[in-house]
Amino acid sequence: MPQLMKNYVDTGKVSIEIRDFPLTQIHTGALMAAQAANCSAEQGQFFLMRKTLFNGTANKEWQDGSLDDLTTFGNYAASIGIDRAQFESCVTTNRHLAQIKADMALAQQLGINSTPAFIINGRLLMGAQPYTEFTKIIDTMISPP
Amino acid sequence: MQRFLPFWLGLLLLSLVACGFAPGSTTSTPNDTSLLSERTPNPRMIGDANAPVKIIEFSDYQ
Repeated sequence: MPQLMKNYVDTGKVSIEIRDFPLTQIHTGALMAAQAANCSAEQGQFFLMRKTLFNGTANKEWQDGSLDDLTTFGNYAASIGIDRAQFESCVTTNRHLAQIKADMALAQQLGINSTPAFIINGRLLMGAQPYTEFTKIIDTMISPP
Repeated sequence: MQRFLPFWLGLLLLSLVACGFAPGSTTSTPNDTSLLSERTPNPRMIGDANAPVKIIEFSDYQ
């Protein structure tokens, strides 16, 4: 969300951490995609891979976590300038599976059952929300009435 | 014998580099099995780590 980035993140008021909650029962490729994002984090390109994955799923470039999808993710890795061999080794050896499972367990513990979901200083906000919904909550936290 | 010393030292250095024992060599990231969320800096976070408001976004990719 560009407005949130410009007005709150870039000004030091807000930090945003991404966690994984792949809905594996309905999105069969989401787990491998989460691994792809985390493996890109190793090489400093988490957010660029994340954006690439979202664009890719919108264009139906990958779907079910098949070998074809692994090739597609490898192509993404090459296109964003990270080491493809290191990336593919990371994905195929499930190097960040423990991280993803920890994120999923935390989400379930917090009562989250769909995405996106946001925890804002401990407060749960479910679903894709308009910018104003975030500002309402954040501004109250920064300057309590 | 002494005139061959640089050659042997060079050969030794090349062998050490090939085996990964060169001075200053470090363990590469792929062997780091710690959780990403516990690393500093956290590679999945943007913004100031000390910001007053912290948002954690749980997301799916499909």
